Amino acid sequence: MSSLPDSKDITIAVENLGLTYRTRLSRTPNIKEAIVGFGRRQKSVVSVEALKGISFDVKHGTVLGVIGSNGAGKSTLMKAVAGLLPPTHGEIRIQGQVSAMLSLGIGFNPNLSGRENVLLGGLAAGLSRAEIEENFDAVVDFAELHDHIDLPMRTYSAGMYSRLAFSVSTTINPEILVIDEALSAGDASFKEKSYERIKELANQAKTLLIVSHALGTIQDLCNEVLWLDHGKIAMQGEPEKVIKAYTQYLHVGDINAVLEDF
Amino acid sequence: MTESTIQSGNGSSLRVLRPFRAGFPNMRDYFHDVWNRREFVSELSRADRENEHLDTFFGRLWNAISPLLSAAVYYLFIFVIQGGHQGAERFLHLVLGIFVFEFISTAASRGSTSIVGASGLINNTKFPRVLIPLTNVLTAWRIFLPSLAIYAAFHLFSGRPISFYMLQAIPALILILIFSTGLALFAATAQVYFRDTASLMPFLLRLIMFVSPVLYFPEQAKDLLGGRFLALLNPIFCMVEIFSGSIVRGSTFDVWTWIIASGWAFLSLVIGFCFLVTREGEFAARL
Repeated sequence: MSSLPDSKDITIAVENLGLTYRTRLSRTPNIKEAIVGFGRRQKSVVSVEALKGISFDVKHGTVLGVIGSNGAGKSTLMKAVAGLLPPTHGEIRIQGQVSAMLSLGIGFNPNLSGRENVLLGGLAAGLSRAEIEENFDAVVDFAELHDHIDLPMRTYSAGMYSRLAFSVSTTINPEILVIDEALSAGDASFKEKSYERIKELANQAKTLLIVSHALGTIQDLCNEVLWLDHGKIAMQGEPEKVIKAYTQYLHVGDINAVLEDF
Repeated sequence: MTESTIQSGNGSSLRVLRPFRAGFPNMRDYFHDVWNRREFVSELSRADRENEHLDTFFGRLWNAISPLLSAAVYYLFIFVIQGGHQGAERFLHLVLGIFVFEFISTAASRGSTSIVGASGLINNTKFPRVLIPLTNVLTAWRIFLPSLAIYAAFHLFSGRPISFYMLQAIPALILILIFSTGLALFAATAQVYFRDTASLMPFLLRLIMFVSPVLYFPEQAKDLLGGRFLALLNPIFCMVEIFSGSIVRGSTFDVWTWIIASGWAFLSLVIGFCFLVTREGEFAARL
């Protein structure tokens, strides 16, 4: 049925994956909404069919870029691969430990220190205290946060948050790394460093999934691109080819305008 | 996710993510993940507590001060304003009742905001969501234990006897713990869908306290409402009755009291756990 277990070089096999979730129209559900909405016979809950039966394989050492318009299902796909949202139908087979950086920085509790957050995040992900402590200095080194690691994270700048998040998810031995829109944070030199780290991980035959609207970044880093449109795969293949088709689809005449990182 | 972890040739594990079956993830894997992350629960509870009361003068002493103050306030209300001193027994019953009620109340109210409050972690990391409210039950438990020592001091000072029947308080306390865990899991899940849950919680808890044998003795309530009516309808009535009665008076209880107490405790746990686990697949989309 699935192409996975026999072919050893495939890390992620997604088969006929469909994901529908229910969500509220208003940001925070409360009693007033419920009463007013009921009176007007409004439906306050909507079903979103974010992924409509997609199938693809990702091989070891692939840096897969995922592109598409807003609402195409990119983030939902990332959450599904990270195990945060269960599939509605189909299945995902994953070979190895997944580390995710999905909603940047906010995986952390702002009142606790950077050190406590790194420990708690790691324990929640199922790592042992020893594994975390072993890698702790390397995490702090890469994030360049020596002076701040014992301060509460509410004192951190947005860039510091993202440096720590990136450092944690890439340092503690991930086999598969899922990154959603996180690369644009941090200053130019850290960005350079994080590109290097991503390339390094790809060379070690780790697998990376990157979602970004910055097509320039995708083209630089990825050796394969998946274009999602309305919950379906519009195209998958070589970065240049897919990005070209995508920009033509967007009717953006000048390809350089979309290749800019913003 | 129904998820089977098998060891493959190259040492890394293969995981298969599939739709939930009848709303439930694979329970064997789920409990396995819960057990593997027990250090997370303990560590998060410790970190949470260390960061509370940091900016107050008395700091963590507040954990002892607040139940004492509640006891003092109710003492004033019941014994001074309602007139007459009614003996050490009644005072001890009041203090112990308030301490154990504070535990239920802390677990439920902390639990109710716990999952929404942990949205960052939930949106980034896969782990059994039940751990978040469980952490808060553990925190409430750690706050509660020292207050038992305060009670013990009162008990000895008042010269009340120490009886063999006090041991009944241990299973009663376990039932209270089970009940509170179920309530915390339920409230934590309800808060995701209905953000007023946490605001309603104090009123619900106050109502439960007034219909529980905390401010009065159980037999007074039974006189009032006839037989076991209140005991059947109020989940914590029998648990608190056994816990306090066995310690303060060294009483024994009939089998129905035990059955009602156990019934409510396990019902609460089963409902709370099922509600959370069947909904947790949505949390990452809802928060």
